[in-house]
Amino acid sequence: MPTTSPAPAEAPGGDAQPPRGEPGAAAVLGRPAAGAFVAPALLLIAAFLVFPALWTLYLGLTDYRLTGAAAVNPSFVGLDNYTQALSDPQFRNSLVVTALFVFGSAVIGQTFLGFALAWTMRDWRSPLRSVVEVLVIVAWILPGSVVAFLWIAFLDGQSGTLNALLGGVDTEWLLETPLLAVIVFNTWRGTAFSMLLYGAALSAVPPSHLETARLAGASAFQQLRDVVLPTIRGHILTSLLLISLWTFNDFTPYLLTRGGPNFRTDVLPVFIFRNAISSGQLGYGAAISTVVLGVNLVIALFYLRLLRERT
Amino acid sequence: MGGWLRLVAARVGFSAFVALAAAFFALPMLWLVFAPFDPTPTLAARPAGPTLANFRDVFQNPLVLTSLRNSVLLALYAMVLVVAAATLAAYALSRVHLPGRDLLLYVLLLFSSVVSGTAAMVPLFLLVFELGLINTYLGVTLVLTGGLLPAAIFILKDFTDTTPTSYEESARVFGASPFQILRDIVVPLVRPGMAVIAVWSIVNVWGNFLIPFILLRDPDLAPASVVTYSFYTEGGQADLRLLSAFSLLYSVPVVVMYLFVQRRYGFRFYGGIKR
Amino acid sequence: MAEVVLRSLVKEFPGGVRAIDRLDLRIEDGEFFALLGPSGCGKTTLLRTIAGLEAPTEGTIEIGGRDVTRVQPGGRDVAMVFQDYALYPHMTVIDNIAYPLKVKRVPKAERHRTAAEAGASLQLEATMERRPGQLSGGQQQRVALARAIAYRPQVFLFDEPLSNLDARLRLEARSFLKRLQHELGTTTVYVTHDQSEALALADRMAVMEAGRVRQLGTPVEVFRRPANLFVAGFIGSTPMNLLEATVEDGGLRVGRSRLPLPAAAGAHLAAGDKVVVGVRPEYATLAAEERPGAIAGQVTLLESLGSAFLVSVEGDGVRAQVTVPEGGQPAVGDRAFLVPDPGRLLVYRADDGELVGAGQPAESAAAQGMRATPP
Repeated sequence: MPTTSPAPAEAPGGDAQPPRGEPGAAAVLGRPAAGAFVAPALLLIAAFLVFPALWTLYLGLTDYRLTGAAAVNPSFVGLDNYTQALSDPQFRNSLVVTALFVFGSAVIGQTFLGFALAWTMRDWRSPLRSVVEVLVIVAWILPGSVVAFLWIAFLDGQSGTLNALLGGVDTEWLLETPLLAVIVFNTWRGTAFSMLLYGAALSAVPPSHLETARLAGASAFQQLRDVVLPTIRGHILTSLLLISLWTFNDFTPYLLTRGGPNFRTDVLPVFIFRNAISSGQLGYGAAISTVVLGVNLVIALFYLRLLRERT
Repeated sequence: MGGWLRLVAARVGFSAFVALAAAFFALPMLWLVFAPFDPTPTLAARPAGPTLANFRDVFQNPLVLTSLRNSVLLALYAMVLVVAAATLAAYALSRVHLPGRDLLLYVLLLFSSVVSGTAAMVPLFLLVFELGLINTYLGVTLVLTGGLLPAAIFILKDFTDTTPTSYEESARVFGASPFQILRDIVVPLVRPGMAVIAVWSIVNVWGNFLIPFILLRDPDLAPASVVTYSFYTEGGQADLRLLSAFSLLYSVPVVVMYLFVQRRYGFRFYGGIKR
Repeated sequence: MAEVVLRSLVKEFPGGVRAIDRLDLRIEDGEFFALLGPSGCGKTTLLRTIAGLEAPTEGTIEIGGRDVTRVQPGGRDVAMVFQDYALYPHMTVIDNIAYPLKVKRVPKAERHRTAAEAGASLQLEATMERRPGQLSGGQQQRVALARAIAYRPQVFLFDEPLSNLDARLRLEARSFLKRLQHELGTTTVYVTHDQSEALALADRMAVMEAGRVRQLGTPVEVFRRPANLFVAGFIGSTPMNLLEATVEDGGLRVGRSRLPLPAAAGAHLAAGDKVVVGVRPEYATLAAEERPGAIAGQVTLLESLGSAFLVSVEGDGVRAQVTVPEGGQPAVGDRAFLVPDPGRLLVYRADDGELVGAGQPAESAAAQGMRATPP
């Protein structure tokens, strides 16, 4: 299951606490007690989340290896790893594959499908709606290894269900159109988040806004474009941000294709895994990780800039 | 008149779309519904049998049972640690105002979306290695917990923010210590939030592949996520009878938990939307 | 002895907001003391500071002769009843009442006995095993009271405990509360924004505005002789008439009418001084013919108060109200003369709103040991 997190719809600006609660509340808890309470979580986060991220920056500048001479005595190699990466065609391939993967399955696939489902069913109260929602969510919840195999079976050339439904087709999808298959797979897997988020956002659009537009003669499409989308712009951006980041860092394609055939689905997480853990080139792997972190940062900043631009 | 027709056409169109989408989501899952009960399952999803023979095979397979037990253990360890640490932290953070607190939480949240696993694979591996925790559940638990905490705190803080401070203040005036207040008043009040976090942690850890894959060496320690994968990648034809039943057993707990949370609390989005 | 003494108390919040502005106050042992004022005047902050939930920026607090300024909230031996009662929803009524004793580590049997007694004294026996959510508003309020009583503190602190009850219940609860406090004899500090509540309940009260005490005194004093325009406008179920006037020829010119100038005030005023005349609608009568010292005008509005009418009289740019017993009310449009009782006329300086000839009432605060800080 992809790492799930709730979607904050607004970047933080202020504190929701009433001023009266501040010093008074401190009297209830007291600074020392509060510090003690926060300490365990903060320690764990610092040690296993923050520190590794920072350490990556350093490791990328070394030639750390799992075995061999450099494992015992790693040395500082400066930007060698980075230049190696830039001239590594496999790395460039991986970048492209990842970009296509993110764009295809997250930005387009999950967003459109999720929004379309949320919009279509927004006023439905029938059990059919619950059925659809359950199906979509279960696709998200099932463990990754199981889901990967379900799709391997589904897409199998000889006996897969898809080919059975399509009649006399015997395309080995995972071998002939691997990237497309993986994109469709990830769309299937992750639509639930967008669907739920847009569902909640749509139900928060004041009906009076829509009615005003309808009374003014706007068609359903125009209402959607002129009233709904601007109102939920913040949610769209937040959703895009989160699913872009999650998809960028998703390791699940490995379970489907292991990056193949011929590196055609070699997304960056798989690339890192192969180079760092499998081949033991930790320094090189760390450098790639830093690049990944950097790209994530750029993506995040890009979306946050768009988010801040609203109104 | 034409407008009425357009309305009907739209209705039909939308319904067709939803039906197609439903089919899209259901089809790949059908295998999990049929194959475990099929005495000779294939890769295609087709109703056959039904038989429970596959489950008998599973229960007699020590590797499978061990892996399921391991998944349970890992999920429980992480759940306990996450709930404990997150409750304490969320309570403290929502009562004491620190400058930049919200920004920090938000940043940590984004961080945890990005850093858990893939981008920090290398340093996490090295860190756990240096701490001598490779191939231990402690190592796996600590790493998983670190990744889950920011979101858990974020969710719980929403709960603790909405419990009125007057309860704690009245207890404080009566002389209760912060610990007594936490135990007697706050925890009972945020129990629903803690339950959500607990379920969410369990579900996340249950399906997590990468961390146990990297940090555990012993096949005996491998949880079901890793073992399932190894089942269908070990060379040769996978034993579909075993794999299907195993997959179903492995999947059922999380589906049940989701349905339970859905029934009890509704699948809402905390923080942000609910304004 | 559980008197509460506040000296030079200041509470400033980050951002420069002064919720309490150099306050000196002495609340006697066993007294029912009300803090009255509009929202934002600092009364709740003051209460919370006494409780220890807020730390004062400057000044000291003493309870029962002990300096508690630096003492933690739990160590001041006070019980606070909140506006929302703060009943723990997951505990039964008896556990709620017994909770303060549980904190003090009183053994279960004993604390349940004490809780049961406190509950019984407030007619809560039937509800002991229920949860707060299953109780009515009035019952919840009594549980909150029982909890405070069971704690047997030196001081009760009440933060608008009746404002969540509906009107009829509020009046009953009011009488009940007064009787209870009288029986227990515990020093009580009571915050409210409802002036009728403060007048009914308090032995003495402080009327606050913007962090300062504008008047300190018994309800009778505050009602009869408000020390300034703020208090005059705040106290009284029917608003006091506050009429602009000028001192002229030993009298007061109000519009085109002439009112008598009370001697106590006249000693401090000179001709031409601008003042504001205050007279309560209850302290005036209505006449149909011209009278000396009356305000002439036309009846513009009649409001029924049940057993009396509130009659609005307007003329020459002056608008005043008078209460008239039922049966004696005029018709709208009638010519009428509003005759204030000269002994109840209050004169305020127009520039600073202070009562002229204040002498006696403001000094009685000093006589009681502590002067209210002059604004």
